[in-house]
Amino acid sequence: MAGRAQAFSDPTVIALASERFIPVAENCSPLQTQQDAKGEFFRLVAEQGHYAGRTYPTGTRQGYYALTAGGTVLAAMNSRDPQRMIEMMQLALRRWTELAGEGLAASEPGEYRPARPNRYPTDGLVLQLVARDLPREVDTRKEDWRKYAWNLDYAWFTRQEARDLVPAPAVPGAQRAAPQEVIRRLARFHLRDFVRGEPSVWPEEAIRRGELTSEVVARTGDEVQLVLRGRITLQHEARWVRPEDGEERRSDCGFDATLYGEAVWNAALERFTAFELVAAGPRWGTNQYNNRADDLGPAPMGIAFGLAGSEPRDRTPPHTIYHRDYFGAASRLLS
Amino acid sequence: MSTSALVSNELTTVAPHTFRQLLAYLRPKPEEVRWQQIPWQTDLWEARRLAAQQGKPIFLWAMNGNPLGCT
Repeated sequence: MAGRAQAFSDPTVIALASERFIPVAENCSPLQTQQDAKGEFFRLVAEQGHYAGRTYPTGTRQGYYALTAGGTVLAAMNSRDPQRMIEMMQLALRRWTELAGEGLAASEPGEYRPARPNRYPTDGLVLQLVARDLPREVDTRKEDWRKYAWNLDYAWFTRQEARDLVPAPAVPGAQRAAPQEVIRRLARFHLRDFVRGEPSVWPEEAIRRGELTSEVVARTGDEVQLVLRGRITLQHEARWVRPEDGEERRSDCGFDATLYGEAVWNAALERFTAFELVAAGPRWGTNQYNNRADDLGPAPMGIAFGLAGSEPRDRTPPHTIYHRDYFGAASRLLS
Repeated sequence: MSTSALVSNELTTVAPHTFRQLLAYLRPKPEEVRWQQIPWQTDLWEARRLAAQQGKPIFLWAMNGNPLGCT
């Protein structure tokens, strides 16, 4: 989050990354253990970099790497400082020029068979999520990044799940309750407090209330205009062990969200051509990785859902895509 | 829209009359998404293929979490 705001907002960094490199961003948590060619390639790269061999305080290999297609690291670091990043990129380009002369720069990658299937729903519904704190009447937050934090995520729904959001017949006044699987995915995997970081998935039993209904408000030819209304309430005691001292922590967490949205379904194309949904309400509590220990609430939070675009970055998977329950029973059968 | 205006309008829960204002408040502002000007790929293997094709080095942003999504 901070990297996006700092280094990658710098015009020189943007120009260098865009024009002189092939820029790629990927979650390294699975790559550090993934048993396939890409995982092996990442580990080959990381073990030439700034955290090579490190196991303490963590074994993470996150950071910034400049490398050849064949896996030779040109420069690496883990600093968001724009000036340091510019220097790192320029160093990499100098080394690239030297290597190119030796004919090492253009190795072709072999065939890749991923250990995990890509579940991107090409013909389904792909949404981008934005989460922020909403304004507070009494605001005691410190004047630092946490007060202005926001975060992104993506949500994936299959073609059938998208179709099942539309009343049948799709005539004005018709209503339909969203499928339980859609409500479950929204509740457990997407109505999380991810404004400041990476919260845990809500367990099934955290869902105290789960309602989402669509209603046709107008139809012009194949264009079906829908309104979505709902309420999803989550509450659960989060427990985790702090790696620093081995102490167990607990926090009563929750999010009581009202949902409202507007969407357009094209009956001929069988897909949404517009989709906007907001979930808003009080959230409270903290968990291990969402940086809320100083802000237990209750305090208002909003999550906006909209159609994802068509850039490669819009294929970024949902944060919790690898959870065995993400796609419900279907994903368990496939895993 | 100012924060105080949102609070005075009680825009902390979503309803038909607050929906558009909430969307506008939640969506990223242009200055918050300058990093999206970079044509990020999201698959290291695809980046290898493009790098070999185009004769360029790779710049990899690796994080615990999705650098372009929830992190």
